[in-house]
Amino acid sequence: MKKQLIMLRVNGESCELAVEPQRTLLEALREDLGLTGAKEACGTGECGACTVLIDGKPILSCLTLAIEAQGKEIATIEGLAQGSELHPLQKAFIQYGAIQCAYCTSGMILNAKSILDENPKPTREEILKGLEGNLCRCTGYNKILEAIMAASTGKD
Amino acid sequence: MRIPKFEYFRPSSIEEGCSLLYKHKAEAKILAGGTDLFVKMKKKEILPKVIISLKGIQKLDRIEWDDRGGLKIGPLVTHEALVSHPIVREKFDFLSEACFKIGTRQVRNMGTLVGNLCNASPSSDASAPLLVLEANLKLVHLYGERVISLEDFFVGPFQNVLDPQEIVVEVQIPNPPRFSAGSYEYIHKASSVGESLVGAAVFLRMDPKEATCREARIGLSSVAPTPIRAKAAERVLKEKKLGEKIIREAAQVASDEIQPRSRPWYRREMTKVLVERAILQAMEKIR
Amino acid sequence: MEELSFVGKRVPRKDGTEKATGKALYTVDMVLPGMLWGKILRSPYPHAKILRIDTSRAERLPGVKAVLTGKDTLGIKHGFVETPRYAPDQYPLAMDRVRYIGEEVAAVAAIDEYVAEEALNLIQVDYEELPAVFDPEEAMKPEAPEIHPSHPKVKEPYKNIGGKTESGWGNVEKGFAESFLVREDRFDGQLRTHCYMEPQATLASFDFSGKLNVWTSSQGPFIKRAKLATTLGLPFSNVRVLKAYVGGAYGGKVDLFSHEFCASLLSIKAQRPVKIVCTREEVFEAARHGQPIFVELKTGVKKDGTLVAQQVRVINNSGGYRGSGVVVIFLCWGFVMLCYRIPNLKYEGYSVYTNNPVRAPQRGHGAPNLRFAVESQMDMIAEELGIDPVEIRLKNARQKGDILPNQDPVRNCGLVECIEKVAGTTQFKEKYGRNRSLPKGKIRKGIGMGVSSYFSGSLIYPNASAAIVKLNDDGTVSLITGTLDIGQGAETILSQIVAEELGVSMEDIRVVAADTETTPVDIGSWISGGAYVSGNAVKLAASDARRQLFEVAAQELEANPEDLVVKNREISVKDSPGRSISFTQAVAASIAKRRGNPIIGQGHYRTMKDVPAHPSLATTKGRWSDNYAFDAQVAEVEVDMETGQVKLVKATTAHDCGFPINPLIVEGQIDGQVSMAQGHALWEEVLMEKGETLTTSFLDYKIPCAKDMVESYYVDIITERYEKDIPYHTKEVGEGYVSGMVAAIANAVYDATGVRVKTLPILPEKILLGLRKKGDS
Repeated sequence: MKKQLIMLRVNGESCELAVEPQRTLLEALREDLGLTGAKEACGTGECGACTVLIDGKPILSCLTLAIEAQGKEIATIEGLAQGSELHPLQKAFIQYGAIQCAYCTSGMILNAKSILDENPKPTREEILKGLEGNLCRCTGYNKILEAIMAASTGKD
Repeated sequence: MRIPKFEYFRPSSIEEGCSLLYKHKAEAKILAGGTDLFVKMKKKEILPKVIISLKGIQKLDRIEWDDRGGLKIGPLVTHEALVSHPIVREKFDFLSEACFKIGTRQVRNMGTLVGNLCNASPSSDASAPLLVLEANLKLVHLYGERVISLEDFFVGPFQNVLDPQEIVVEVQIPNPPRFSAGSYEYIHKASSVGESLVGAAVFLRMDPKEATCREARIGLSSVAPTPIRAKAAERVLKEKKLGEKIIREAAQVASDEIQPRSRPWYRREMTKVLVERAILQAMEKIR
Repeated sequence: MEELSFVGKRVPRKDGTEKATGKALYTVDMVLPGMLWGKILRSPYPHAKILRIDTSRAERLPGVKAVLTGKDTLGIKHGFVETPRYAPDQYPLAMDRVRYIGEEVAAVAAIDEYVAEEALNLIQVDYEELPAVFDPEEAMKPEAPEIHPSHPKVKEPYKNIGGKTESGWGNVEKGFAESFLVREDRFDGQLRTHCYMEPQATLASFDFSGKLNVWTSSQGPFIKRAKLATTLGLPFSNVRVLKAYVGGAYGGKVDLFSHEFCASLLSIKAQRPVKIVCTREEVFEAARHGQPIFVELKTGVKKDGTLVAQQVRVINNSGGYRGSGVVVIFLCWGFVMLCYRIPNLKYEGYSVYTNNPVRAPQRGHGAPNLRFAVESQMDMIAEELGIDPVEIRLKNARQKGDILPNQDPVRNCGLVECIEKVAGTTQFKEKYGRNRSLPKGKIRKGIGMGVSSYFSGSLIYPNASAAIVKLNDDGTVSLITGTLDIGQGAETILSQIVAEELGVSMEDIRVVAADTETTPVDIGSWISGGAYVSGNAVKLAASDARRQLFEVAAQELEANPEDLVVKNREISVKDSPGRSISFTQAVAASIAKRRGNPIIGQGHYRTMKDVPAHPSLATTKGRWSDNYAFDAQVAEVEVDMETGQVKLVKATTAHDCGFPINPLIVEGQIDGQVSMAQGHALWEEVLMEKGETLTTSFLDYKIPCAKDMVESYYVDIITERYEKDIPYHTKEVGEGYVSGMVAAIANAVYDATGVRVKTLPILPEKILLGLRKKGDS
């Protein structure tokens, strides 16, 4: 299949890529743009490790075509920090021990961000329900919840 | 896992989409949300040479309602949209709740209700509520259109009556009558996310003065090759006063109507439990 | 004891920022110029002869750069265990026979994964199917098809025995005859799997100088180097295994995998880097799952619950090759005898070949299934005797000062305290048994206890850890260690030790890790010895650096080295704060006045320093470990009596881990193991049908999700301490807390429902069927 030239807006910047139709957004981010923060842990939509934000909503980049992600604002984990100033969620994840192997972390933090952007003071149940699509095998989710609750109350 | 290669089209109208289907026939598949299609392609279960995306067509993500025609849901409406739409939450509450159960937050943002129905999974959570709401689907192809009931749409596990040249353009749900309510109960297969082991939707229309059930509809998912209506169980409740004994009997009859493929004993037991719970829930809502 | 600044503190992870910003590079993220993609062709049959392989069409496909089959290899076998008794038994690529569906038969490297996959479809393999057997009890029968000849040292006439462990003392027959109560039960543990989020992946690059550079998702580079070099016929020093971040392992990434070998050999053949990434489906179908075992347990006790005799038979289903099967049957002996004093024991374990994919350790390596058996039976015995579960455990618990049957002294055993404290904090005695007399309810609560123990470091290649602590002239410190952080926080805790010994901050430490060429040897992150063995090596290296630093500083400050203190990169004289010298100044002085000595500290450590080798897997004779961790865990559940569904509401872990180097990390390890125990006890199972894996995705094989999160509580039992200038003893925290919790959940379910389930997982229908049998619903 012939490659098509597309423009993707990633973390506020416009990037030009040449991709075949079946190329997923995940592959484009990781292999064409070198943004390897989003991961593939399953490739079939169950694990959430490939989660990125498209127009603020958490979506699975492994099941999204790169050509269909044009004209939207894509946010990856690499764009979350402002220079060396980490996002409150990133700081909280580190401070509260919510990171172990971190393979789930990029997707988890972005999804958590979208939850807090929608509702700055969610309940524990709302957070856990919101994260049901982000699998973690290391942490048991305890400290992840703690970190997100702390970030939502502005606790430092 | 890579998606196998395909040719991509992005028509700007339904007519153009139908033309493309007419041209490519069974080699083509329609793309809405992609959460089912791309998974199947990655697993090599289907290998379409042509993908026709609906995303270039305007206004397919609309939810429309009026008090005569009922609810009309376009093919690009996501589960998330149905979860949060105020009319759906108010007037078709158990459908909204069922949609909240489907998949995960990310999948609900991407996956469409129509796509989910076309996937025709026996365990789709939206199907039992839609069956008891007596939903219809509007299908169009190049030379015409037809409306069929959702019940007639499913014919087997992951099999529907859609012709390769047809596109589903609308889900039509009639307004529920007065003194009626529906509820949806489910149980997970394992953990707290993923496919339901059993899904039970109950819709009741009660007599406003006596505690008599005028009409009962019971929809079950994940217990047969397709989502089904438990019609024998429905007859048990019709024109009866709904006491504990009759409810239990209806639940028992419903559990005899199922044809589960795996974990049959447990599915029968859970069908009984969930149908009973759903009937009681629906009654509670009408009160 | 002086106040510590870093060790014992809740220090945030050293690699936290890298990981939280998506910058950490895992093997799957790495790319090299000219890189090719590799794919593996796998056997579709559970047992077959390979008659012929024709790769010519694949070789001719444009874009294919190399193709391999067994005949391109040296035919050197490898195995999880490689000892004189248990010789390596698996070829990295099948030669003339395949013994499980998914066994690796060929490999290709091509310009992209699409071409590689197309090439696989063009490889023609002619198989002759052989009869296959899948159940271990069937495989042991004389009429079973032979997968491998039974081990020659096993006297019984069983077929397909990969190995046997036999051990015991006293006289069990006499013991049973003298017992007040004897129970005999069988408990079955299911096939479960690791579900590490990062799939198996390897990037290999054979460079111009003849060196093979390998990045691979693993649990320690030194064992990978050894096995790769051996099977490839290369000198060890020609194989360099470098650090990559690892996205979880839990025992499933220890020994050599075919794709690692294939990526390496393909790279040698193609003269280009080759990356192989297994799909999640491949991981479910062909990677190594956890050892499933069943346990036949016969136990005799006195009237007051004291153990008199125990007879244990463990059968393990190791798959088509030995894998870690002969280790798990040895470990199960250990997991029987560690927690309770058993006057008379007879133990027999068999590792049985079947035509299933090879199995591996999984977090606990036998302990979860074994402790589920022992602890369930303990509760059953307690109930029959009318004793409560806490009392019966206290009566039999291992105590400090005990000498284990293999002559290991039990240093600082906190088991009794663990049991007492966990029972107290959960109000166990008040809650246990409350359902016996209460009226029926739709949701019933239950509480249960499980006790377990785990060894902390043993001897297995490479047998030792060493470390280098190098002072940089800007005052920062480089820690050079062979330790691999697989998510458990190894780099962080080792840095804490350096910071403590050298009086620097965590930010001042640069970690260079897990590179077989540049970092010293390390035992690896799979033998539960990270904190104890690697930690002591680092401690010794850091204190060696400090000693040298103090010698220079003492000279500069005209003081005695014993009077110096170090803090914030400054060395000063005690009680004379004005007299001080910075690290930068000290290093400069050392270089100037000590013939260029830039101050490099080194340290090394080995567990059981005077013991020559690990214990005998077959007889259990020999010293096993310097330290044993103990724990008592309590699970509180709610059971929906209509649906049989179990919710694990609260988990409390009283753990004797010695002392925690980092309590934040220890808590995270406990939480993760509670979560794994939840899945193991309640729903996880890899389903197989005639050698074919049916559960091939996270849709089919469910692991706990966020909504399943359990409230997890910790009770710290401190039994060791950290002191400057002497090696410390501490215990592991990464593996032992799954087993006690699995057992506790099973006991809690019984308390709630009166239904005793003896096969894992405890599915809701098993509970409902049990209730029906009792006539209770």
